[in-house]
Amino acid sequence: MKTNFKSFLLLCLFFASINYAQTKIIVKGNVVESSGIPLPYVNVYVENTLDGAMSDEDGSFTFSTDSDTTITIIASMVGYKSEKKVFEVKPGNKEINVEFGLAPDTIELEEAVVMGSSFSSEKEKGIIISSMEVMMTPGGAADIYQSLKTMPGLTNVSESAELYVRGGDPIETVTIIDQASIYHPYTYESSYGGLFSNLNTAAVDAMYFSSGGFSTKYGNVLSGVLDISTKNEPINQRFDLGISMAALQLNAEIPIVDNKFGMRIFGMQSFTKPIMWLNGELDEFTTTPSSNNITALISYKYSETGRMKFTGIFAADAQGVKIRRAEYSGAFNGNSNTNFYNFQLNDVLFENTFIKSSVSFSQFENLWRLGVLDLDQTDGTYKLRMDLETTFSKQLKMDYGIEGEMRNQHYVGAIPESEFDIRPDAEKVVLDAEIIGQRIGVYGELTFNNIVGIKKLHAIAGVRSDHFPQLNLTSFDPRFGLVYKLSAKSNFRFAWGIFHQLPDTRLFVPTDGNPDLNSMKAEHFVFSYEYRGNKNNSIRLELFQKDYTDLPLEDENINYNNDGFGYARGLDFVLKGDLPFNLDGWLSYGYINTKRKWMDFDKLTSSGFDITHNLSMILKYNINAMWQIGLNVKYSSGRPFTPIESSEYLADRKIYEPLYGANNSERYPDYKRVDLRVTHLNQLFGKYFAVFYLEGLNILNINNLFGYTYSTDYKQKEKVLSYFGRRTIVIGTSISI
Amino acid sequence: MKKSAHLFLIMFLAFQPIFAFNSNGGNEITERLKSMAREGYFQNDEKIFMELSALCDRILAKEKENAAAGYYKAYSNYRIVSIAMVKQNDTMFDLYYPVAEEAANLSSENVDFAAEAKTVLAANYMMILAKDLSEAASISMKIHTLLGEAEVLNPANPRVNLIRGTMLLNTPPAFGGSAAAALSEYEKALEKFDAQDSASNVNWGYAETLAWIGIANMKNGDLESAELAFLDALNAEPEFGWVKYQLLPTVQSKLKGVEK
Repeated sequence: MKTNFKSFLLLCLFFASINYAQTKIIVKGNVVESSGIPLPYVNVYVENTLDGAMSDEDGSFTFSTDSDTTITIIASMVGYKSEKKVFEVKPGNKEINVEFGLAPDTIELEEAVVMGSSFSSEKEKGIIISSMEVMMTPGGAADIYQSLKTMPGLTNVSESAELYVRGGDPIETVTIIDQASIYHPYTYESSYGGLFSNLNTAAVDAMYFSSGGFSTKYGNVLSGVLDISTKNEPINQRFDLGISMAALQLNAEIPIVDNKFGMRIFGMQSFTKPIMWLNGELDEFTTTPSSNNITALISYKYSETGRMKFTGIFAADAQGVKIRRAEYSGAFNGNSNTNFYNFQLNDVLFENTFIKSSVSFSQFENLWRLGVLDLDQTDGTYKLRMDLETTFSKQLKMDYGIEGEMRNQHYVGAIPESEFDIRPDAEKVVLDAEIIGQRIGVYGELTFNNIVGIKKLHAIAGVRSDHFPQLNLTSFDPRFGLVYKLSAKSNFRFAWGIFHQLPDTRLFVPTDGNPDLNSMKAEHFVFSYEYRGNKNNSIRLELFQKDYTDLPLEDENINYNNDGFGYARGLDFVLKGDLPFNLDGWLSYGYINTKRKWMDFDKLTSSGFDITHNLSMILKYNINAMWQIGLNVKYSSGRPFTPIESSEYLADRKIYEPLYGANNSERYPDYKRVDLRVTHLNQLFGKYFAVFYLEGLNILNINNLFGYTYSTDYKQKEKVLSYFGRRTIVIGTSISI
Repeated sequence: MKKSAHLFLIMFLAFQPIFAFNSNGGNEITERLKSMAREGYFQNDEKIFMELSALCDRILAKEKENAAAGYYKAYSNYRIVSIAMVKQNDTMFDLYYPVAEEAANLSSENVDFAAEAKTVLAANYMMILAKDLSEAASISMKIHTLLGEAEVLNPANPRVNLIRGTMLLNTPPAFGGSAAAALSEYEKALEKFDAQDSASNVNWGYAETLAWIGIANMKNGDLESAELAFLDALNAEPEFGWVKYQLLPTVQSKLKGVEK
């Protein structure tokens, strides 16, 4: 027994010693990104043990572990997919060599940096403008469009909210909200454009704006894209109350199920009467402009990767403006209603594919009344869109998608037969025109990082096609972009692409248009240099050339043909960030030379969008944490216009007909404006965050021109001031609860 | 007697690995986590915090409910994010912030570490606040709530006062910020540190509190008190890089300027 016990004990000790002597094994190896670049700080360890190490700067690691017959080694790191490798340990094995190649974990939701000429509120896309900056831009009225107009690439043709991008007509720029196109995103829309956005700035999560060379994702658009993403479910409950001399605003952000389900509602009622009264402009209106809008967001995150979201925008406005024309003085009455519904679903498929899809409907209704003009317009758009993004590796990504759109425009009423006669009893054309347009678009593009082994070289190449079944038209748009990173902070970019867009649908009406018109075409070349010191500081210089062909041109026989052409070329410069003397803000300058032969311009002529010099300077100075003062200085060359040189009396109609000089042969005086904003941040009752502001629009009272009005015989002209042609003061506050 | 000795020996050999882990492993690991956390902070080295986070991940992969690993994962990622913020490394900030917030949230569900984790979560939110003032309304309220809850759960936790003091110091006066109130919070923190058991599972913040007292005094123009606080901090942690190479030389150079 004694012997047996001793033997057993010895056996135990023997095996215990074997256990410790034989099973130590060295695990060593390397971790690289799927692109081959060494990956430091990766946690490499043996499953179900604490044995492991972190990879060093070269991606290499070494550690020891107690071996089993089988060991599982895991490599994991934030931002990458974990990788697991199983090894059979053979007797005598003292070392295991293991190599890991980790692929990115999350799919890049942001677009690649490659396409030139973009600025946005999303990082890595170029110059950044945040929604906070939109809120605080002096003179920007906390409005997306008005604030964007201080950035380069946008010409200051008028004070309207419409975006004139590098010599393009406003219809050449599309606004997209959560994948859905919205063709009437403005309040107070008249034939001169709208004034502000219907979408509440506080609802915006990210904005991407491109003034050229943009992705194949965007179709049927020639010049610019404003792509807006709204916010998801709120994390914290919050209520904001804003009141100013021009508007009352109430916002509510309510989480319903923590981090999963919630809603945001932003409501605004504007009432301009007090401000008009204060600034002495009441007598210019029969109905002072008023508007209301509600933006509603309901978002549900149903899984780690999936989210569904409803976005609704409901807006209405009314205005009655006194108009003085040569032949008639009266009130222009305009009312409009916008309803926008979008349902969006985002999720991840097959681990490497991100899918975004949306179904939307938007309906715009408005009426215009002025003399004989009595027009009701409805414009409804149904849209279905799906965007997919598949990441194959850190080096290769593919974006592709499909969209279908049906747009139904209906015009009912009467319009003056002659542009120069709008009197109530003037000759008119009675309209009851319905234009239905359908479009199906598909696109695909590949993003290559570190191409041909050059780590600093990135490229995008893609093509899209749009088909218009009723017109039997199909277009193909190849696009290409290249980025060469000079350093982590600076890069050169080049973008080239073909872009197609249908002309204004009214030109397809058979009676005075041409149903056989083709799409307009533009070819973009963009070359830029950008330096980004950090997230807030950047500088960019961009040269561009845009060549237009197939523009609609008046034709004696078929009303319109596609023989028009034109070009826009110039440069944009922007410096943004921290400036000397504790100032911050941005300086943007754009030079453009653009000419067109199109519509009724029978020669290559400066277009109405040819604003040679555009300068905006936004300066903000933080006096202390509670007080900020901001200035917005704008200068732009005068807008071209066609002068009236004489007139002819038409005895039968008892009216003078103006006789015009050469198209756009004169310019209005240069546009100059200085806006000031003083902001005071404070806390009310020890717990409510409050912002008080005083805004002076056009504080130097520079009488910028909207245009001229003429005497009955057109021999004398009188200036008509622009919307903000007089000094206007606004005081307001916003309180967060 | 002999028999029972044999039996004990057999039992010891058979269960030796279990004894080894339970008698030393648990404490040893917590001590290792504490030590790495301390080393990372005083060296201001994100690499050490990444190693700490990696170790916590390994522990959690093996033992999902390990409260200390859960907490130190939250803490290490909070430090990684704060270093990223100081270095203005937005990519790193954006990558690690969600990890830090999620880990702090998870840890705050564990009874043993709830008070500490809520404090770390509040410190995370402070960084978001520092980056985007527009979120002040909702986030500042959340920070106050978290610190209040942490204090109720463990009134002796000095880090609540440290974080609250730092918030008070860095908040504009109009929003309730005050260097004097911050100093009062730091003093309370010091009292609690003095009463704290040095063997407790979480022990960071003492020298840091002294550093912040120095900064608050500098803000008040009391350079002598600031220098004393920095020297106290160095006395507690001779290799406290932030104080040794930045804060103390700054205040001493200012003092020299005053003397001249």
